[in-house]
Amino acid sequence: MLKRLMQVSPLVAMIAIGCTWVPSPVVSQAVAASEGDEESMESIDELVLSSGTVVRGKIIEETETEIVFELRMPGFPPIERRYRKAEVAKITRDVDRVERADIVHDPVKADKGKDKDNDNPFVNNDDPDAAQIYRIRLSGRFGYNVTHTPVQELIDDINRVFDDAKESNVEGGPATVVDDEVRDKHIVLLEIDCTPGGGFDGLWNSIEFINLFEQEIHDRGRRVVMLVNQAVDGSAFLPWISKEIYFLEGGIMGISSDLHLFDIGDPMVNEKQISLRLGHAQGYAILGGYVEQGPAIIKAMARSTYWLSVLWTGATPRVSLREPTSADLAAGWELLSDDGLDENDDDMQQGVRNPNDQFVLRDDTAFRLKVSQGTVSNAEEILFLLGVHRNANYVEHEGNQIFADWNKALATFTEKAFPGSQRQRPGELWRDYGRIQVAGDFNDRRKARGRQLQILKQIRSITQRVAEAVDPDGGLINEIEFNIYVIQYQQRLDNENR
Amino acid sequence: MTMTLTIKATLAAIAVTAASFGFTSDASAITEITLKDGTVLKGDIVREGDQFVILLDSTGIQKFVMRRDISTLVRDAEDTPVAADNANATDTGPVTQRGKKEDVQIPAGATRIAFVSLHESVGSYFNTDALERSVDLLKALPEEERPEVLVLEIDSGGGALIEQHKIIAYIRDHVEPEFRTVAWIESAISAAAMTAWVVDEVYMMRKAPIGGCTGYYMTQSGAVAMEGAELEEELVWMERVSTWGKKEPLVMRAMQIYSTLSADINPDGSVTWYPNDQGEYMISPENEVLTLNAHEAKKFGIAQGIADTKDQLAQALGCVEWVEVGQDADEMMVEFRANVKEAELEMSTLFREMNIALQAMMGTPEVRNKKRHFGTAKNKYQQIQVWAKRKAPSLMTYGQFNQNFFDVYDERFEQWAEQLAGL
Repeated sequence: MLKRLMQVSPLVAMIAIGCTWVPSPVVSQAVAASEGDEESMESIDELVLSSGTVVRGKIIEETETEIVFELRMPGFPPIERRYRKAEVAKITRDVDRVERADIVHDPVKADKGKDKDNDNPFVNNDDPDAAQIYRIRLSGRFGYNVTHTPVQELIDDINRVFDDAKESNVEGGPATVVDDEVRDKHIVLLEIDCTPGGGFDGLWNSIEFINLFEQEIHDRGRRVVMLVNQAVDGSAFLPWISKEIYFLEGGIMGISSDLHLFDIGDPMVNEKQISLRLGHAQGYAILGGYVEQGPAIIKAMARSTYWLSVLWTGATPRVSLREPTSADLAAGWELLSDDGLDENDDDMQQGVRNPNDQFVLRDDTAFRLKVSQGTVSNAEEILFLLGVHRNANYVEHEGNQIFADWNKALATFTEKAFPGSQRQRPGELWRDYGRIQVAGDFNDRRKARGRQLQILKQIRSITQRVAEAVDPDGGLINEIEFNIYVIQYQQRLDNENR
Repeated sequence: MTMTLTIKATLAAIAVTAASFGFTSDASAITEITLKDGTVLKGDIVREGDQFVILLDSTGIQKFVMRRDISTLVRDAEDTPVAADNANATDTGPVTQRGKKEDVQIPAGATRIAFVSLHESVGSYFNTDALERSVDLLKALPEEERPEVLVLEIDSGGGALIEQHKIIAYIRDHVEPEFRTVAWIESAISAAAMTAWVVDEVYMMRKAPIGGCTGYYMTQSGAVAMEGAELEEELVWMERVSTWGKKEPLVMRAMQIYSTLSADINPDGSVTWYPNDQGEYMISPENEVLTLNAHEAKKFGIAQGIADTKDQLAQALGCVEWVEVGQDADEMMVEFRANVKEAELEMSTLFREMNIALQAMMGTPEVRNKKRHFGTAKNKYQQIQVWAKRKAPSLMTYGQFNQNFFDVYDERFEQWAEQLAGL
């Protein structure tokens, strides 16, 4: 032990000196330090990229312009990558020794480390202190593949799996909340990887179930970590309600439509509509605690005519929606997106490399803007950042099955009950319905109508199951009900005239 | 810290209550109410509480009557008249909708706060009549249970401008003089924001927006903004409301029309507003309409604070110890909205069915069938009328099934009846 302490003492000193440096925001899922003999361990190097990503492995070669790096991840063979020096913010050699030194230096951590039989976060262990991770990926289109019903079922399942409810009387009356004792360890890891749908107004299709997550996080006190891969349109608003957002490498958040083009008539009425939409959307950013930068970012994401510039200073960068002056730029303000008008219109610029009319929040900028707490190359890396990489379990759950069932019900609707459009033929049941001829004698007509009613009721049942996705305004169900009523009415007349 | 409410469900009272009244009255039990001014009302009691009775008269109209205004109440012909003032003592006990007697213990020194929700569309769901009924309930509470603070919890995307005028006047003249009144915003857009504007004290939930007050109407060719004298009147009105609500009129103006607005925050925290871009903070650029988020509303003094929960709000209001009172008032509001929603759905269905019958009437050559279809259509129409009167009178003012609709169809049905009689 003495030898060990002597060996690590210079490293401990390094940590102290390094206190002013911001801790690694992102850690590639590198080699988890085991409690083996450090003499036999190979040293691990760490690169902090300017995007916020931290990768660990071994520096193979370093030139003036480039680092050749062997990226290491548990369970995978080493991968060789080349990083331009310009994209590397910090290099730390032998970082793993630093970590181990830290553990040894901290008796609590050291003891915990010794007690652990299993350091691998990907293998379930029986340690009651292990963090429990409920990992779920939301994919498809918000408002269609992700809607109120499956989200409610998901939240019910989360609470069933964690089984950590406690009655509380703290905030204005009795309430059920997550037990304080386990709150930090019971983590929902929500990966958002959704396709565009509805443009900005995808928000309206999503409000109801975003509110469900909001209640779970803010009323119940559930820890939900958002992992953004592709959060577009309705799904672009969800991550903001959590104070813990991470981006996958290459992850983006944005709006596929431009509110500037919103048009229902009078320009001033359009402005009213744009303004109230932005007011609603900004609320999510404030709710999640992104008060200083969030509202401006959301505005710039939603409307191309907003400028967005930033001054990288202080704990939270300062953002502005006005056009930066020469003096601003000289003072260090950086332009993130312009107003897209006239000569700033990306479409007017031949070969424009970085379109910037409508702001898209990308992994690196999200991190620098303090929206994202870091960029990871896969979901597992987050465990490092959450500080649970040495002792965590993925819990078994029904979440994936819930969404699989929902998507199956959607597929059934498409196959059987979709009423048809210019681009897509009607579902099987509508085609059957269309083939029925009400003709012949009374009995023939009665039978035909009976068959019609049977099919319509089947269609209604299939549609109702997924109505919030396929018929949110109730128009289709209304039409089916109308048809049913008309057929019944006609049959009544037929009976009377018989 | 919230004071714990002790709710004592008096089991005996529940038993008697359930036996005597239940949730709804027996259709055969006609009640006669004589008011202190001599007015006699007859009908079915559809709901009653400690302080009120709702009577459905023979024309299908609901009458809301405060017990304090009742001289005698006779539940059926064999009943002995009961003096309303002591009805609680001589009657079988106060009956709430849940059929239980609630005994709220209010600790000395705790501030009594009532919450009344104003949700959904201004007009049919969020209106003066409903608010007045709720407020009357609060006013009728015994002094020791009466709220000191009334929180109007607003969550609405706006609605009818004309209702906004009425409700603002009501809040100013009848609510604010009686209670310390607070607007607590979950979302206040357009007419809802204008309504909140009259209240001195505004608190925002973190995600709340307030603004977007441009008046407009829809035509077949799209939205048309209010203009001319009508707009001028609205601008002047909201200037006056801003003064009543102690808010900068320029802010509301920027919410109503294009109006550049900027501001400085002075060292003492006060805000200086500019109808141009002179201020340090650009609040609303030249060609935009203003909606403030919660952070901005607080920063620039439109809202006094931010609170997400009742407890946070009470703390922000300076109420260290508080107790919620007058829950009946909000329950009535919730029930009112549920009735309107149910009525809207039912009336739409009935209207659709009425039209099918009318189409059938016009399509068939046989007189006998024409008359039969006419009868069906008339029946559906009458059901629409009953729904509107009984459950949702506000829809007759603001909804699709408004007085104009009934006037038109009354006339049409008369004409059809005449035509059929001549066949």
